[in-house]
Amino acid sequence: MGQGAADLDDLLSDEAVNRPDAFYARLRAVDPVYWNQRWNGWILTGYDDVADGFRNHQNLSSDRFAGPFGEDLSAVSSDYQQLFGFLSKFFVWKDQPYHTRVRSLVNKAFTPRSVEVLRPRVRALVRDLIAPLRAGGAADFLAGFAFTLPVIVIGDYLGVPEEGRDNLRQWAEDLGSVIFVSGNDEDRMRKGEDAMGRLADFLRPVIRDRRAEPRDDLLSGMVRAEERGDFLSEDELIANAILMVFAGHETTMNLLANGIVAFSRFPGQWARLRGDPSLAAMATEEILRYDGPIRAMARWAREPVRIGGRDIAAGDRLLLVQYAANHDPARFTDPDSVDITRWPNRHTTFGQGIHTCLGAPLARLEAQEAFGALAQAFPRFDISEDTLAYVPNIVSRSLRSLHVTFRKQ
Amino acid sequence: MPGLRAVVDHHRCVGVAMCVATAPGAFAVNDEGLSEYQPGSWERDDLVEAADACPMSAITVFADDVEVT
Repeated sequence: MGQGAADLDDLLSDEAVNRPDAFYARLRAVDPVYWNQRWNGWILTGYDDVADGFRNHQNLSSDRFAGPFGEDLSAVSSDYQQLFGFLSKFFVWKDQPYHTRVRSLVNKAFTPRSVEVLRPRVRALVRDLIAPLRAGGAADFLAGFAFTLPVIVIGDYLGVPEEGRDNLRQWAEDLGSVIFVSGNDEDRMRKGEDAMGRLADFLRPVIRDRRAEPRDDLLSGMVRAEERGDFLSEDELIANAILMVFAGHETTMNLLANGIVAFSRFPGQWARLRGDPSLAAMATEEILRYDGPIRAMARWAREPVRIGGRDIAAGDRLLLVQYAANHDPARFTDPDSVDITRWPNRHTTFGQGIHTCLGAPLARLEAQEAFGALAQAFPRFDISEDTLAYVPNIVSRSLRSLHVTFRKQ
Repeated sequence: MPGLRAVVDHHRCVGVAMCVATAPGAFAVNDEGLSEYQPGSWERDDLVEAADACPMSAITVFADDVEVT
């Protein structure tokens, strides 16, 4: 194997992690359905192939506890029973018909109309979080703004007690390093096991409280669904509440941070948004496309399938690279530029098909409010980092640190 | 109801199929994995509920060409 091929097989190289536009453009040019020896699967980088992959849930499984991914885990799963016990109940990793039964239970709470009631609360939170940014100086945007907003919003919505929220970030981080990073090293797994146990211990009494005294929150709604006999056991309920806590803030945090970086590269687009706040919704879609919080999602073929003119065998892994699909010039004009009025803009950042992100309407709402209000408050800002470094993993697109100096004029 | 119909905007639809789960028969997934309205004698409430269930706000329901969602 030549040098170039070996390089393209390294999904965690400096280029792949920190300059994904260049890396995936190269990969797409070589082969949009590329066999990666090291990852031991197909890497899809063309828009149509990635979209087909997401929509083909009949042939392509999301089940991480079966098929080739299951084989990887079976060697270690008995050592980490809390971790795998609850992870295996995440409905995001279930196939039909179970997936849609659970999704239908919670979908109503996450429709655009349902989450709209949160807008005044989100707007007020954003205003509070912007206040300290006016002081000037390099602010820790990741911790002070991007983390804080979504964790409060999802915590409120689910009905997670406030006193636990400070711990959530650490638990979610430890869990994230199991979920987002491939490989099974012992330290990571042990931390993930510990975090999962603590999250479950934290949520179990809350869920029992809601059973005794229902409130107007999502946990109470899920408890009611369980009581109607709609499939969810207490452990399934806890698992999916953990999934929502986790999915509800980690990704939105990265969306907000990546958006600020994107606007720093295209200050004219920031000025446009400032000049016309009604563009916040379209601007959010463009940020999702240009540099969303998720790079790629994995599937495996339950049955042989043909994608992009290539025969995929049963049992093969596929990596659907959303970042690459969103930058495919065959689909998007001038894909490496931000245009906040881009339309149509049917990006793949939330996935497509039946597993499309449940929280998409909530993430959109938070980002619209955040970008809109920040642009109103600050005509200019500067990134206060020497170099932007991203966490080296295949799935998420998360900055290690983001300090920003916001300017009032 | 006369003139009751739904339109799925394929610039927005990504095939989540919550409409199919909510109003089976009135919506079906096509070869591309996107939802299509299936004309028929559907209840207005069912179509409206399916439109509300769409996470992409891709469905509009019309009664006698007047938008009801």
